[in-house]
Amino acid sequence: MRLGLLLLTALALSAQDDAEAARGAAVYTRSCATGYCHGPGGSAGNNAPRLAGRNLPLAQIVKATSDGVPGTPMPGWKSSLPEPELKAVIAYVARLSAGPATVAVVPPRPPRTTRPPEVQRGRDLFFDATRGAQRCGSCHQVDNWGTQIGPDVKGFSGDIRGVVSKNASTAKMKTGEAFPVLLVAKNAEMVRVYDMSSLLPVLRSMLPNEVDIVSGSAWTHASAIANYKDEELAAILPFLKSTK
Amino acid sequence: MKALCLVLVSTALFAQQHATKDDWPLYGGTDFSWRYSALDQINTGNVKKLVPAWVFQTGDYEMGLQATPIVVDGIIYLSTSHNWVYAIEGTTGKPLWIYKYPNNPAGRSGYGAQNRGVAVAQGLVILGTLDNSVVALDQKTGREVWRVNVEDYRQCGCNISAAPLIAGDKVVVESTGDDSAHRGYLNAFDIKTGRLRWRFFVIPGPGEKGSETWAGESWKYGGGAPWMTGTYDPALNLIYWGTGNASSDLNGRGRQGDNLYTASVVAVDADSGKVKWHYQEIPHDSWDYDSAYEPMLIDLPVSGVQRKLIVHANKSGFAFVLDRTNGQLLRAFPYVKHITWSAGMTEDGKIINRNEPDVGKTKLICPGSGGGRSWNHATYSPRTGFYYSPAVEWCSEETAFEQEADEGKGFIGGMWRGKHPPGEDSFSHIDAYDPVKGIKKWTYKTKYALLASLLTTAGDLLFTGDPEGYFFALDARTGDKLWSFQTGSGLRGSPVTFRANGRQYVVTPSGWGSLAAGGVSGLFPQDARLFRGGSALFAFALPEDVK
Repeated sequence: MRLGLLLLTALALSAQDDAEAARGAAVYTRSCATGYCHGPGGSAGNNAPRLAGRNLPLAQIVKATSDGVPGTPMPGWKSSLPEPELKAVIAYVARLSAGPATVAVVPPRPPRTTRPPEVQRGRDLFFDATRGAQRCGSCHQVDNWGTQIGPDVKGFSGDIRGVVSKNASTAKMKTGEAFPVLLVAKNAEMVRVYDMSSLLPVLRSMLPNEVDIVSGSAWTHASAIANYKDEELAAILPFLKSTK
Repeated sequence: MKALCLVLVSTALFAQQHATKDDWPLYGGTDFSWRYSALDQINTGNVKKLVPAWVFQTGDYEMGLQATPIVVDGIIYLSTSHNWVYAIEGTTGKPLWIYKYPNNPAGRSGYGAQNRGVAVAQGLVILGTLDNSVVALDQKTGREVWRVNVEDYRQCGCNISAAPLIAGDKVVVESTGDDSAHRGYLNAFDIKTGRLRWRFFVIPGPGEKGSETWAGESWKYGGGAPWMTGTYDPALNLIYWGTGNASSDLNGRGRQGDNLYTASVVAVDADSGKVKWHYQEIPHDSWDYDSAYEPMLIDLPVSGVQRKLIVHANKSGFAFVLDRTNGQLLRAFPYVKHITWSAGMTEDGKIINRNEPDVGKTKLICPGSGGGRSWNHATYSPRTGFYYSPAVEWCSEETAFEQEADEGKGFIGGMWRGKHPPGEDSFSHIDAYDPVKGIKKWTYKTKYALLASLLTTAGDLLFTGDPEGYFFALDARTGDKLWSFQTGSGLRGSPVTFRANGRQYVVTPSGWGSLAAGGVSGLFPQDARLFRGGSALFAFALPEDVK
């Protein structure tokens, strides 16, 4: 009975009451998008799935919100939220669910796939966190992971150690210091470069009168990846090839 | 007699050495993190006359305002939840510049938008971001000077929420991610250039000392992210930092062993990033009992011998007194009433009868996942000799479940629901302690969890605020309430004080939010409907004719 009542109320509210949905949004932000569960705006969070754009049946939203979802961390809220707040948050989630999936502000992570073993090994090496900063992912983004500084390496094949960077230049500071850089932007107000002298690359912004950028540099890709053995670099190739 | 006077005077001067004066230069005030000011223009005799001097609205309201403002030469440097930084004129509240870090709206881990402050050094204002980057700004203009991404926030499931720590020519930055499948770390950068100087992994790798305390591959994603700000001791060139809980938080079955250096205080050499000593407060943590809160440095006689101490509160409801030259435990004492996760702790720190969460069973565990206190900081007054800490009496129903680590994703291994303690409603208190003996001198009780930091001054005042929006002053000697002001939103940040043009200002963030704030709503859902969000800085001073 109570479920039916809530259903009706939620339907009515989601159709016409912006204020109620706004109240629901506040409840959602406080109680649901805590960072440990769902994400903001109905996006996926650390421990709970995306709600936006799911087109979930209203009955399911009411049931899950009120009673929780057994076997998951989702608690039932009917005992801890006052009824007006419960209704409001249901109305808000119903709206998110019926709306576009693109309101999600956190990109859904790639689903866990079963990769062929040689692709998985290559990926593990590319993003190997145990190497600290000395890993491919510190400069390259693949599969929506890693930091995008260097060129796109999707589908790369060839000699990783022998890659020649045509883009590297040298920053000569007026103080006398010189270091290898990747030029990002240069205009009348600012020179912006990635300082490549060590990992991690540092995005540095300088005033034009502080620095000269000259072509060529002593930087090599081989020095940046010295941490990897030949066998490991060869093992990374099947992963890159698979991302084509 | 003269000699005695000299001794007294020099003791008093020494006591003020670690007090802030006109400025509030570092996160904890000074190197010792006392959050204590030598200013006494505002004092127990005139605090009733305190009035607002100005209010600064940040315009960035999600998750409230959790920062410690930094004050240098009368200019306030303030960060907000979404990594905006303001420079504000201290006497007027007028903004001088703003910097907005270009966070990708998607660019954050699951810990929510929150930021607890900046560091100011060598003409730069330094900030950690929601996408796990570190940014340095020109102190005069707010222009970006350097920026470095520590690691893709999606891979570590982490971000940077705490204020960076200045240690000589380096700036050391934490990671917030100890509830993710992540191996926590500290990173030290060259202040001038942003170049990485060292990375300290909280969890030792294979072959390193301490790695034998982890079963199998569990070390790779075992947590420990040290998510608050540490303390730097220039005399010993050591950085003290409290580390995060082991993960998965509530289920330690996959990581048999003590799990070093999680839930520990570590002393790290500032030049090399190597561990000099450690003290693990909760071996094989299975309750989410981080040690991440401030390591406060105090020099005091113990049994007649002057010792260099750390006083440190753990989420478990126990505080620890350590010798900071070697990590030796001198005392452990409980600071909350409700403790059910164990039958207690011996004075030498041994846990008696562990009561761990079980798979498939629900247990009431006190303190709950919010801890016997939250991160909001303690204070120490050399005038009273008291260590003051907030405390919260609350519990959680906890159920462990089996979970497989998936790099960068939530890795709690269980679930928790906030609950009132057995036999009574949740409440909160501020307590004054003799820090060496762990003896309570006075207590001040409130209904709702106190989630704002404490500040003491040479005016013998203690300032803090509550979830209902009251910023208030207690007599630091007695705990009597002397003054309060309604700021319009709950307090979750850290008050500071400074002096400009001869006038003392007390400044507090006001702005309710955060995960722990959600815990208060869970326990008092009806009352919490009246807790309003916000994000403003309030400055108080005595009227011009009083000072």
